[in-house]
Amino acid sequence: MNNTFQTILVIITVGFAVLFLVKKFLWKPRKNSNNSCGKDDCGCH
Amino acid sequence: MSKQINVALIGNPNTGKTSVFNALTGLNQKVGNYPGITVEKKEGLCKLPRGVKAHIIDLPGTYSLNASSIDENVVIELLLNKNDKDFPDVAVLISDVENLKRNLLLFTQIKDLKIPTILVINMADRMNRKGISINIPLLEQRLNTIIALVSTRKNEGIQYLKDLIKNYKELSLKPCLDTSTIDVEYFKNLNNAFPNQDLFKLWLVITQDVNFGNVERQEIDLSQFKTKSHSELKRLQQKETIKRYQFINAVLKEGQTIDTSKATGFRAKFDRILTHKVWGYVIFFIILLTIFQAIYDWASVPMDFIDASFASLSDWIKNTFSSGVFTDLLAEGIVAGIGGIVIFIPQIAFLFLFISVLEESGYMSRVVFLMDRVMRRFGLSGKSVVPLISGTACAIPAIMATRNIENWKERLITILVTPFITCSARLPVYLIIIALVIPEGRLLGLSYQALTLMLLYLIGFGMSVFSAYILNKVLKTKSKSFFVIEMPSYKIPLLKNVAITVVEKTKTFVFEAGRIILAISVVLWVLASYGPGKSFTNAETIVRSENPSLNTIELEDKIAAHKLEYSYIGIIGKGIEPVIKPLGYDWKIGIALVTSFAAREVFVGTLATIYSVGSADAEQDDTIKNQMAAEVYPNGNKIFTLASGISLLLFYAFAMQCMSTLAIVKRETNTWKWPMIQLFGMSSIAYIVALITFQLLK
Amino acid sequence: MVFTIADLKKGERGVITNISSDNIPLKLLEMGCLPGNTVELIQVAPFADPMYLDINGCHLAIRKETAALIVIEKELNE
Repeated sequence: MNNTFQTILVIITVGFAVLFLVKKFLWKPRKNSNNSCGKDDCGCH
Repeated sequence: MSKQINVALIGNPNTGKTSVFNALTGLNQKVGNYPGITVEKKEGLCKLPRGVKAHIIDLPGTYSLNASSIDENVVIELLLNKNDKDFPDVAVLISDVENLKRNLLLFTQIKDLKIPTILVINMADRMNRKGISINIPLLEQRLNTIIALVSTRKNEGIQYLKDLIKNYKELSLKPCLDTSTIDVEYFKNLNNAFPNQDLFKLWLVITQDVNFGNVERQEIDLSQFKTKSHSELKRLQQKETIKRYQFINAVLKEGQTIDTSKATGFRAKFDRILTHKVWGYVIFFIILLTIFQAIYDWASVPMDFIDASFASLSDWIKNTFSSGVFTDLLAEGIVAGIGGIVIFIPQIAFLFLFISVLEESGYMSRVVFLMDRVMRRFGLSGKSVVPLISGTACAIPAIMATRNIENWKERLITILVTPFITCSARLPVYLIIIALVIPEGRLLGLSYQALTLMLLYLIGFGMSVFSAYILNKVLKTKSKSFFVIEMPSYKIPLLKNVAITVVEKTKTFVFEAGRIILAISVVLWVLASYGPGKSFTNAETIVRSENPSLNTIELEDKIAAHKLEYSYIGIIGKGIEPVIKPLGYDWKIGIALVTSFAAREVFVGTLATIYSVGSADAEQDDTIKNQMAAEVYPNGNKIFTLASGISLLLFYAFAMQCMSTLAIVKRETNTWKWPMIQLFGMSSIAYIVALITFQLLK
Repeated sequence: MVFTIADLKKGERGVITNISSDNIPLKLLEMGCLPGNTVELIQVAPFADPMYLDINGCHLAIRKETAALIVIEKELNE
């Protein structure tokens, strides 16, 4: 009983961690439509 | 329930705007980001008299509404957009008493946008010392505003300012300059084309195209209007600036008197030494060394404490909660992960303490001045100094500190090379390997081990400068070379500001780096705690049968080691062994290399587990050292030799293993291109150098 | 010969007469670098770059290439 509960907690925690990492690293950079680049680079490549 | 008053704090850099913000909001402030761009958004709440609240936004420092960088652009975007929820009901312009003339330029522009404006003259405590006296009523009348004389140092004037903010509706909306006088003909046409729009506002929208970026023009469609050519517009802007200064000069001639005979100036005296061709540099290096030494010494005490605390916490969890996989995850994955982050807080906090003091005192500008020429040879800017120094604590806040570098190419190169600087996380790895393979002995009074450490720092710095040089030649990004830095007067740093800065920067590190490190730690724990196949699941039985005579504790250590070997990570480690063998590493080191992706210092802990040094003994450097020294290949040769040790040191010096850094670089450059280049570039360099080193020295 | 800020020696002063407009960042003008204002060279870094100037009361440092775009009339005050 205890073991199953613990296993579930582990799965949930690991799930969060993986989702977080995926979001951080695989999310397409949000397009910013506010600035278009003038002469100086504003960081959009 | 009164509505909140929206207040915008605007002003030149170095006017003490932040101090005023801190004085108004105390700790009720938060730092975020403007959507889509990497500019810090600082806002806070202030309690005004009679239960009224003010929402204060601290806009980036700027010299005028004509933006020349992204953060200056933020100011004008807000002020031109009435529909923005942060659009101010009242603007508070912070000026400093010694630079009133220049500060007023921005003031007149905001007044011309017909926004109610309060003029704060800050640093009023310096008035006497500088022989400055001001006729406030006259200035108030000529500038159509109300003035608050403030000294954040002496805590004077803040209450009055709060009253003024509360009564903002009483402020005059009369502008300072009649915009059409810049070019009567042109503005007449403009007015005819857009009769409903304010002229100055139109003018700003048109010229922002010239200067920087493309301000959102929801309300005004200028595509029909034939505007002037680029250079003609620039000429008109210059005319506007000249007119404004004419106005300001006339006002100040009557309203301000400066008696230079009364003025006492330390600035000149200090500058003579601090920016001296020779002494300037000497003093700077002495200051740098002092800072490093202090950080090293001071930080070790809290670090040891944190280390011990987290180890006890981990044990406590294991003993208190019912045993099971989640308890293990908690104790070994999560607590260890958080411990790995928290332990660097002392070093980072101290470093930013020093940097903040240097900046607040005004000295940092002199450093930038001294270093700019040298830096430029390598494609960097004088302003790259702060990020490079910060990198010795952690690359993440260092990279964020590059935001004030105007030139995009210089900024990019700085971001790309900062990770080469020896950061705190590399130290535990260096220290243990050095202790293991570098022989005893002294040279010129310093032990070989100490010299090796110093050498590694120099290599890190040298590599960053060298790669900057290469990148400068290779990158074809075109960018204007435009460098202006104000040299503020020397001031004694305000403790409050320094403290708030340290807290902010540390928080950034903990949350930005921390979350990633924690997540990766969790994942790595899973990979290390589970494995396919019988060898893993039957670990206990196997180990027991192989070692019938061991006692419980040693048995547990051996079981842990066996499990690690046959876990997923173990398989990965063994899988990469052929690739790392030429560098002098075996699969056990391979595992440690993989876990370093969470955070470099995890290397040591992982090795402890692999060599079945129990967690208690891992504290004793001797035990793990002895264990590592005893490790041999199947053929009997030692694994940790001078050759493989140095190879490992150099690998860690150059490899990009820190995932958190990659995430920050991606955010600051807004693309995956650069962090990927960093990852592959740096790792390749690390691999090749380690390879050559090992093959040469073995 | 055209005399610019870049030609100043330490401690020398001048009055700004002309600015070749297009290449000078507007920001400099906004900081007080306007015709009619005085400039004094306070300190130079090695190779005379950057230059630490006092322009009309405003203390700032600019690179030599920018300084070379600002024409001045040297003040002879001995």
